Formats: sequence, C-alpha cells, structure tokens
Amino acid sequence: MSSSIALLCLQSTEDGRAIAEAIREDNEGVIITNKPAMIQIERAEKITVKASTVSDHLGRDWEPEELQLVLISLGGQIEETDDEFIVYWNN
Amino acid sequence: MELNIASVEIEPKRHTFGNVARRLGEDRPASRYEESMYDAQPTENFHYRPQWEPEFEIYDKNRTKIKMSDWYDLLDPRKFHYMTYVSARATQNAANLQSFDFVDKRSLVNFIKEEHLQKVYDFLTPLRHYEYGANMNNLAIVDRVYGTAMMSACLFHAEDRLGMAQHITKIVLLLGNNDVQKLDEGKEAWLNDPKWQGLRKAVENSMVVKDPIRLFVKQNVVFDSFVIPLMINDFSKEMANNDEMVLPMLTEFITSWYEETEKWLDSVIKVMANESEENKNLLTQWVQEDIEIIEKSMESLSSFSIHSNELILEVKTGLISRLNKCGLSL
Repeated sequence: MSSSIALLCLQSTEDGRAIAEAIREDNEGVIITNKPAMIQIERAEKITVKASTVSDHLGRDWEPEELQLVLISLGGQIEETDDEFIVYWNN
Repeated sequence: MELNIASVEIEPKRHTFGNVARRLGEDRPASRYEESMYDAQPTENFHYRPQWEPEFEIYDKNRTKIKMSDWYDLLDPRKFHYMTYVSARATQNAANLQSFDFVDKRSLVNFIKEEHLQKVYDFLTPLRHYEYGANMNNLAIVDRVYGTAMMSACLFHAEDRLGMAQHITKIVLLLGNNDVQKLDEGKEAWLNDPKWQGLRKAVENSMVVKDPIRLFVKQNVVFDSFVIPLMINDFSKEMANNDEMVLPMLTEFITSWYEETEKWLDSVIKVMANESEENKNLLTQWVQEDIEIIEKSMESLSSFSIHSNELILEVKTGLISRLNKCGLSL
C-alpha cells in the first residue's frame, strides 16, 4: 500500500514563503507547488516545520503557533511543541 | 439551466524579477528582502564622476581597502527591508512605551534618590551626542559603501541611532520632569567636561574617515561594543545594584536592540574575514587600532562604578572573543 500524503496549504505571504523555504530545507523529498496566492506542500507520511529554521529564514524569532496565521488547510494529524509543528499520518 | 463554475489556474510567466532569479539560480517566489536588496544599486554607465571625489566613480569598489568578489554576500540576517524594519521597531517601541507609561503613571521618578538621578544626568545625557555622531557616521558609510546589501542595512542602522538619541532624550525628560535645561547641561558636559573629552575626540576623529568599511569597523564594531555595554548595560546594572530599578526599565529598549544588532555586525565581519586572508589581516589590524583608542577614552567614563577597570576589561574580552569567533585573530 502506498503511504499517505501529509499536506499543508499556506497563504503565499511574506511569512508563508519563508516557512515554505524552511520546510524545503528540513524535509527531503517534499513537493512544493506555488498556486495562485497559495503554497501547497506535500510529502509522504510527514512534514516537519522547525521553528529554528523558520526563524533563520524570517530573520526574527518565530513560534510554531504563528503558523495558524497563514494556514489555509492541512491533511494529517498534528503534533505541536514549542520547537516544531509536525503534520503526519499514523496509518 | 446548468451553471458550471470551472476554476482556471493561471501560471505566472515568472515568479520574481530577472536579476533576483539569476541570484537564486531558479525562478521561484523570492522574499521581499531579496527583491528589494539584490542589485538595486547601478553598476555601470556612470557618465560623470562625482565632483566631491573625482578619483572615484559614484559607486566604486575601490573606496575601501576591503576586497569582496561579491558585495552582495554581506547579507543582513535580520532581512530588513522597509516593511520588516518599520514593523519590528514599531513593536519594540510599543512595548517600550508601556515602560515609560508605567513609570510616569506611578510617579516612580519621585522614588529615585537625588544623588542617583544626578548620576543619570551626568552619565546618560551626553550620550545623545555620541548616538548622533554614530548616525552621521553610518550615513557616511551609506554614501560610500558598495552594494545595496550594506547600503540599506547601514541606512536602517543610521536611523536606529537617531532613534536611540531620541530615546535617551525621552528618558532624561521623563526623569527631569520635562526640564530641557538638563539636555543643555548634557551638551555642555559633552563639549567641556574632561571625562567626556576622550570619547568626543574619538568620535570627532572618526568623522573624517573616508574608507566606508574602515568607518564601519571603527564606529559600529569597536566603539559601540565599548560604549553601549558600558554606558547603557553596565550603568543600568550599577543602578539596579543600588536598588534603582527605574533606569534599567527605561534603557531595556537599547539593550535588546543592541543584542539584535550584534547578529548583523558579526555576520558582516564573518563574511568579510572569510573572503580572504588580506581582509582578515586588515580587519584585525583595524580592530586593534580602534580598541586602543576607545579603551583609553572609556577610563574616565566608567567611573560610575568602583570596579571601573574590571568592567572595561570584561567588555574588551567580550568583544575580542566575539570577533575571534567571526574569524579574526586578535
């Protein structure tokens, strides 16, 4: 059986683009598609958003809860800590 | 009747400007920082040389002894462009305003002992003129440096320094119940009080430095890392040790701004030093010269503490270890 696809759709804003770049850096094999006004991020099983990488890309301290500000939609279960926001499938 | 709403996806012909895409190596949506900064400065077809320095082109890499193969390597880790810069400072200022309101509303100034208040006037007020000097020096760097990466970051830094001068003014006025004479006395001290003359001389001598990176090292890297930690951070600590908590509250803005600024300074020095052995030696030599100047002039100014020499030594060791981490050999 093929693995499920974890999904994140972000608004294509200044913050959203920086988060997408951070995800590209931390998640090997992730597919990022730039749709009109939206960034679609797909990867098998799991997408990890690391706060430290996003902070580097934004040039300021960023916390995972700020992801909600640019989040359009997601597919998967969520695990959120102070350092990471993880979307994954556990099946 | 059947209504069919179909969605059509229009693929943009390109995602960013051509010059930015060439920098990134691919056509992907770039950040506003990248778009506003990369290659914004003209590089060719300068028809006339500036009248004030006809030996150089208007934008000329030879204005400094530091050599970079690409001046756009000197990126700002804070990624400041107009919008991010303004919103970052606005947020910080809003937080800072709360401290001022708090002190004002509860009339906390009345609880400061007279002798301590006088100490603040003596050691903090003349710093307005130091900050204004730093503002002018940074504008001079903007005039002469090559590449928008440094130009825009130094311009923001110059505005920061004007802001810090104003911030100190606000502190003094709040503490002195809007007595502008306190400011005049500060200027008088900057001009005539013997303990300020070493620093004033250092600042005034720096104003004729023409090499922009030489000036950058002098003002932003060396002078500031003595003056701000000593006269703001250590001075506030000294006040706190004497049970005066109001001043540390009011200077917190400068302290946290400086922590943020250090990241940019360190990254610029690191990239320049890693570029070549010549750069590294030149930077090391410049830093050594400037440490000697500023260290001497801070002796009379750190007299607010009885541990004056230890404080200077601590600040100096801090700077040296910071710069060695950036690749210099001090």
